[in-house]
Amino acid sequence: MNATGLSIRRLATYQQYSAPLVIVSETAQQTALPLLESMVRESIARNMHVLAVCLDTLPSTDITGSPLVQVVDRRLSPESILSAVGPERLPSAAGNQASISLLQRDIETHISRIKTLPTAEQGVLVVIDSLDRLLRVSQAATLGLLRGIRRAVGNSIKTRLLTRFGRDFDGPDRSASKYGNVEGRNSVSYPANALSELADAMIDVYPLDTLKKWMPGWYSDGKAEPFISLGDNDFWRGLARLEHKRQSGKVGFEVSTFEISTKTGLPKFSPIDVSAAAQQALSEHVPEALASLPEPKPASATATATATVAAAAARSQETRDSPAMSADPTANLSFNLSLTDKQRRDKANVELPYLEAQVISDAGTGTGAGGSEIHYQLDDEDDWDNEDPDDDLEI
Amino acid sequence: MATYKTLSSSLNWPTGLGNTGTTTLVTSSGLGSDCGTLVPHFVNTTLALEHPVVLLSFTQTYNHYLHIMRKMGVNLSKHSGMHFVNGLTQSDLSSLPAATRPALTLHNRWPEFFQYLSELPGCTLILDGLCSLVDTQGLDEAVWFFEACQRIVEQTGGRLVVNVYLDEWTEQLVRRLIRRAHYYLAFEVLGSGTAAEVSGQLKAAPAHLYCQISAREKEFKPAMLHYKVSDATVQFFSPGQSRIVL
Repeated sequence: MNATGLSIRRLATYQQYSAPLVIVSETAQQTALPLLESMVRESIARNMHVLAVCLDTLPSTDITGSPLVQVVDRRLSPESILSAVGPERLPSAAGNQASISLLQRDIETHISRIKTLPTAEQGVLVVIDSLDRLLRVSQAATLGLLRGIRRAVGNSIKTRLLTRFGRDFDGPDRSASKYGNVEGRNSVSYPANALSELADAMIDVYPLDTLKKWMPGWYSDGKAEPFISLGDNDFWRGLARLEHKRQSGKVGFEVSTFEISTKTGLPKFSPIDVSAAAQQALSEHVPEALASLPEPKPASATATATATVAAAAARSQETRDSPAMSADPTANLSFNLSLTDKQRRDKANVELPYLEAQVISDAGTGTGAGGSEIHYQLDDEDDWDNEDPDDDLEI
Repeated sequence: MATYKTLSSSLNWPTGLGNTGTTTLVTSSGLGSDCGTLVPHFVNTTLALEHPVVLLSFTQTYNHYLHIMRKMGVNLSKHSGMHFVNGLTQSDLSSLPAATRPALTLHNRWPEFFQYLSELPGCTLILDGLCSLVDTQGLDEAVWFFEACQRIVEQTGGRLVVNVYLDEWTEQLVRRLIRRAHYYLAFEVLGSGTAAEVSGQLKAAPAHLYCQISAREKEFKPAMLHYKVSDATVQFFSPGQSRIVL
């Protein structure tokens, strides 16, 4: 598999697939914000109009400084903060379900206005920085908002709604919390499942270190994992798992690494092969391949290290699978197990000891003892019994 | 000394603090580790830069911090830039002597506190023990309070530091705070047990918003350090490099 064939790359660069709703998910251990912003930069590079709806944070300054970007700031305003009377009546940017509906209408109005511009054919990207605040107010209203905006942006290759949310929003990320299950909290994340059903493409972001846990042969040593490791929240690279639902109904899965370019801020994707064949090869070759790789450092690029291992393992897997190789097990050995013709003749001419005597005794003739016979001298204590001791066996 | 130079150089913090407009989340997990260890560093470093400090504590009185800083050679009561806000009690503690009396009591006076904060440009706001607010007000309210403080501090060009104890009851709070923070510092106990020469370990990693810091003079360096708390200072060193051990 080469990088140009990656679905996530074609998705990010608006090639071939239309995906009106793309949701990027994250956890506390790995933020999806760098990937989200790099995908926004990809849209800006293609002269698409960008409507940035900010509920938590503003985008980076290079994004807000672009003339193609219009910011809709719905964060907590200092005025509302200073007018708060206390914890009993807290103003909130999302507020209640009615305010979510208002937000939806506001966004749809902006989209309609952008579509009337002469440059509208270049495409429209609506990006919502985070759904967490909306999901805390009302999950149903949030899903309704996403459906409405998805309808408003339309279903072409160059129109999209892009957003992100935390997979560990309402509990641990699909696995038991480091601190155990607290009563009343379950580990199934309803928002994640509902959003996954709604999205045309779902990109789950993980720390790069997670890849080793997906490989066969990995096992936990039983020690509790830290809440945050040193390699977590890498703002330049990570692991992405894409679930893409095409309009034909076909669902595709793909795992890749991404790296944000320090110069352009655009994403680069590299393939990771986690198929069964590659997993089998990787389980046999990973220790050798990893031993030759340098130690990963936080500041250095090692996103393609595991991809290199996967490629080497895949090549050796192809070599081992060829028919000629599997028929002759002695073909690829570094030492010689075969015999020359002279060695075969000499081996055939070796006379085994006592063979002649065995042959003569079987024939019933010859010198010497004249056949097999056992001579036994009874002792005084022996009691000779002519009966067959095995007579009672029912064989 | 109340300023930890080794820590600042290890993290590539030239001023001893994060960039202006940033939020640092400090957690401690385990009974042997204490995120309050960094409070003297943030207070003293900010005062040395001639910026105001607002210390809002939900866990201790002002006297506690005064004693600690005095041991480290810093007399906080003489610094006009030091402001203490009482988040521990409901009463305003007006009967206390002037030296230990808080400037403000938070209870049911959030607008007054926000107004007070907005009038101190460039200040470092330290929320010590924010997890206690979860117990009294609830998770959503505590996060809203944090976000409000963050908006005001960003607007005034200051810095925000939040200390939280991390366990199963505060995990959701920490998960939400880390999404709104730029730096994450975690105090942990040693995995191998306890030692007389090492008090614990500090793990420093970027938080979710670090990627948005545009004016990075130096890259923040993720690091794991061991530390030793002594009577008058805290020493940070690389694992295995304690002077006592060597």
